[in-house]
Amino acid sequence: MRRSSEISMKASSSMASEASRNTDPGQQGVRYNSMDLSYFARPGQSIPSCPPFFAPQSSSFCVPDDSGAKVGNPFESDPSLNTPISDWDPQAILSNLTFLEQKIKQVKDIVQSMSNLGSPVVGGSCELAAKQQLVTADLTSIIIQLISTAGSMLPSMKSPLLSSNPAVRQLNTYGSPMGFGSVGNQRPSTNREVTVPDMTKTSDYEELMSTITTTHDEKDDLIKCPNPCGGEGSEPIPMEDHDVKESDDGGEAENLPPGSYVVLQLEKEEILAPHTHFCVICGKGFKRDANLRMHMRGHGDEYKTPAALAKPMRDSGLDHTPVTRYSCPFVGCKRNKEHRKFQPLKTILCVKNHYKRSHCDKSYTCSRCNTKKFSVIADLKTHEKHCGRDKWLCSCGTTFSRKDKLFGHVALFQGHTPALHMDDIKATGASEQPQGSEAVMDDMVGSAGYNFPGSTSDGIQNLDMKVAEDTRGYFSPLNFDPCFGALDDFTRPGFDISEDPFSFLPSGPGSCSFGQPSGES
Amino acid sequence: MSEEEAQRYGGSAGGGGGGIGSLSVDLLGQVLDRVPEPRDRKACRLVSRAFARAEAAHRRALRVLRREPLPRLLRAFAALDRLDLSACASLDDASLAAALAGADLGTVRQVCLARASGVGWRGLDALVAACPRLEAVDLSHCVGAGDREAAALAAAAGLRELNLEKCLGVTDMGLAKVAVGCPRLQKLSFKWCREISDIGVDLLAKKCRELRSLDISYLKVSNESLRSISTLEKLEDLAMVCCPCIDDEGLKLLSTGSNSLQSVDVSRCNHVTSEGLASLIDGHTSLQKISAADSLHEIGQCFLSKLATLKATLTVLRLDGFEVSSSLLSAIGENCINLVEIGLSKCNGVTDEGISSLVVRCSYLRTIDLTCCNLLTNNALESIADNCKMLECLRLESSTSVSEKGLERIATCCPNLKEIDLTDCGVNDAALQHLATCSELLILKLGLCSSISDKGLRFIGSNCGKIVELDLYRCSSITDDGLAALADGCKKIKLLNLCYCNKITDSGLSHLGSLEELTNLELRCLVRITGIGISSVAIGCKSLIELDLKRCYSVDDSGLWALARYALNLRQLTISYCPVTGLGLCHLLSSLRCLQDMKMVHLSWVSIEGFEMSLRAACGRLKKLKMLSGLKSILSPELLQLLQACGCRIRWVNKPLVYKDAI
Repeated sequence: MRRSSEISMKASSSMASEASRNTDPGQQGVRYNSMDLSYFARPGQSIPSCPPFFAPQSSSFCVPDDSGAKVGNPFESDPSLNTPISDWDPQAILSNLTFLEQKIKQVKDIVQSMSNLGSPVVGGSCELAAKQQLVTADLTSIIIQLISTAGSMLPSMKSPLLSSNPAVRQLNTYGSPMGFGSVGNQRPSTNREVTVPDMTKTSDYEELMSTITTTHDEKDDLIKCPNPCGGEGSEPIPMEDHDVKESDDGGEAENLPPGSYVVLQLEKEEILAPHTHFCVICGKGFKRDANLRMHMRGHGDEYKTPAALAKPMRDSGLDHTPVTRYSCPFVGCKRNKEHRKFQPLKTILCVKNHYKRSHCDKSYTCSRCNTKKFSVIADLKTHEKHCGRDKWLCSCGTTFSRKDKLFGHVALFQGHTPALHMDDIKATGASEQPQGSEAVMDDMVGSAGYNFPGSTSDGIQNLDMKVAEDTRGYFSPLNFDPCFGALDDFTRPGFDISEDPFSFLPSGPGSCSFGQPSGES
Repeated sequence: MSEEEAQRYGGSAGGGGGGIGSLSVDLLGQVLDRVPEPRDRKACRLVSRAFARAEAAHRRALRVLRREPLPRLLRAFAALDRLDLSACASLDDASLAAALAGADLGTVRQVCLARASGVGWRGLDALVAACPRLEAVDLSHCVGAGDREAAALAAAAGLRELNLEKCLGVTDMGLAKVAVGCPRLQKLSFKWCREISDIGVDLLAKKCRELRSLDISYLKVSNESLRSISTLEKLEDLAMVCCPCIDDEGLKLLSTGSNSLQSVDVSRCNHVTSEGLASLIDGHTSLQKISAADSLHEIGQCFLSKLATLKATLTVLRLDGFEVSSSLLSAIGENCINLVEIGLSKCNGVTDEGISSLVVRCSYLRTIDLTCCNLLTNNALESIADNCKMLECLRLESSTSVSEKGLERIATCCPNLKEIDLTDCGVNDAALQHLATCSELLILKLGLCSSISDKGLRFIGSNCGKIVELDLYRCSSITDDGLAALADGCKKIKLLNLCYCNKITDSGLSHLGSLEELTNLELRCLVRITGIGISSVAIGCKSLIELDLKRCYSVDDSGLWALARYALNLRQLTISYCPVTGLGLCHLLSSLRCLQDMKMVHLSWVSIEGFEMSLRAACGRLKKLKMLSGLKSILSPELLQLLQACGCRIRWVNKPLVYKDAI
């Protein structure tokens, strides 16, 4: 069970956005159930200790209230789900507080039942553990909700830019009341029409859970992904920070003020297309525009003029687009323009590498170790240069992928010394280096569960998605007329790729405000 | 105690047996401690058993020249403190380990293995295990040594000094091993270990907090290393010659660090400017030595003003290769009155006035390097002579305007003069007459002074009995008579260069045969000398270590036979272009058990079999070979592999055979 959930999680997380659009609601529901089972029946899950610090959006997080909810539904629907309410609403506050009250009561009940039963009942220690875990999770969510409720009452906490971005506003308004209602065991918004809030909820839930699980047993999680929400059909569309190898993606800490640059978002197909320049007559693709222009000469004399052959002038474009940065099309990714801490990518090459590394299958396997997988072939080549040979080893048996890490370790621990004989100590690197380690970012444990885009493709779910992807794959990269001003991409349910391959955020003020924290405590 | 006394004691012991034998071993040891010359001690040892016993119990230092007696020697001397195996021919892991196994080396603290290229990590493992009190190891120039060797040394936890210069295989890993294993290191050199990077240096600085002296010359390390090094509180001496990635920023980091720097060498660091040095001086106001040769592009005012803060302490200042004006020299003189050594080699613009204004205040100067300052005349020498009464070393190479007048002044005013370099100064016999009054002279360089004749050498020979090194390169007027006078008066000569003095014949060499202490003799292109002359040198000069016979077109097999028979200490030999045959070569290489370095280019009379045979005969001993590259493909691959396995490096040269008949 655990294994299957891992696999399907990987698959589904990589295909999350497609899945959200291409699976029918019924199937979705079933998957929720299976996921929940796989999660709650899983023994030995670690207990959360500290709540993750993300803000009001996390308020949508909701945990089943008692053991009966094991087969039930962790996502309680909210009556006010689809009715937008203003940010500072006494009604909402009141409902929040009521919810908290109930929540505390539920937790109390669980604890009481645990103490009453004492001896193992049906599920034995497993169940007890699951309960314990639930209690802790509940407490965590209570704390978060309390904080967010308090936070929403403070006007200063709200970003002034918030209201200018419809996408943000919508998310936010969905987010804050969403988790509070619903003592009942109704399904959450399984209605497929409203995909965005659904996504939000799910991902927030996952986020929290994954944080909870990873904070404790980080190592295990990094490798095994015991993320409960990785279950089938859980739609793990992560809204939060995807682990991204910052250094290589070219967007690190530029500190461009939002709005000072134009954000360009290529769509998946374009990013993955081998060619980016296509002949409008015959459709032949080219990697370089210059080659395309040379090719065009064959289509007639009108393409042979010096003007047609010359490099297109960019001056006019430079005037009103001083700086261009790129956004990753993957919603929830830190490189996606909707992300709170959006970090743009500098070049198209950065986009390509980032997208492949973070959101694609790692189809290139190292032929030496047969363990490491890569999605960018250059990464594979880099790795193969060092694979096996440069495994930096300490006398204590710990291995390091980089020499400076080893030296830092040696400097830290008295008596440890670099080991010269690499064969002496059994290679343990495989377990320490998860597949997705190329994308693991230390400070974002919360999203550790998402580092493994479907590298194994054996679940039926995965197959489904592949089919789904293929059907949409008919979209031709030829058709990439830039669609300026298509801001609504992100508010539309399941923003349709095939419609707007290029979607630009308007460069007006506030449109790039997504990077602003929207109310963290 | 002099040699004679020792001999007398030894003699009496040999004669009666009562006198010496009745003295306690301790007392005899004390006596021996006062006999500095190894040769004299050997005499004592040979004539008296009591002395031999005393020496066995008291001997502190041992330098072994051959592998075979090593086990016996190590067993015989129980109280050894310093063990020098750097010249030990054909020493390898197995022989070293075997020799160490039977010996008690509990007292050995210093081991020198410089250029012992046959010793690898196994030998070092055995060494470290056998010497529990090891404190200093010199592994310099073992170019094959790498991380495993460093790791073996790292097992000596008490190590205080380590020299890894030119151990080309040592990387950060090896350095890390040493850093972790030897936390008490005080002196470390990993000059030329080009694989070492910033992170290795950083770890070193974190682990070895006791470091006082560090040499990172020729490394590709950056300013980050200096940042790490700047935390070493006890660091006094830092050399970073030719570190191209270090610049002023790094020196600033050093200046803000917590070192107690006294000596810093930034020679040939191309990105260091005088501002960087000024900031360094800012942070370290007790600097004593600054070497900035060929690094600064110009000397800024800031640097000069900072020099003033070092007035009391600065003793050594080397500024080779700069544009130096008179005003600058006078400023240096004003600011650094305690200078003992100044280096102005190859500085443009050094004039008589400049030197005068410098020396007028720096009266403590002992060493003045004015190599290639060719504007200088006798006036400069006169002002130096008038002001620097303690002068010991004066280098004037290529100062063509100086003459006997200036040198006379130097000779009369500076009685302590020990070293003078007059290469290419065009001095004559009269100048030598004046210089000969400096009876303390140890080193005299007269290369390219072709007007020097036997007369001049007679002056030297009559008065400068202490001379150790004499360079007569291309003094083509000297003849056998001059050598006779020289050999008569200067018995202490160790290094003698007679290259291209082509009037010298065998009879001249026969005079040289009386120089028992001669170690290095260069006879390049002496076309008149033959095997007879070589024989007399080989028989007479028992200490001969290095001999250069390149282009001695008349030296044939008989010379090699003589060398093979008598020059038992010969370690380095050049016989390129000599008309020797394979037989002579084979005999030479199989007989000389200390020979380690052979240059034999264009031995056109030697057959391939001759090369094969002779190289096989000397295989384990040779460490360096220079041969024609054509032989590379002709000699058997097994032989070449064998040579390499024994730690021999072969330098293949490819040049046409041209017979030059000298000058």
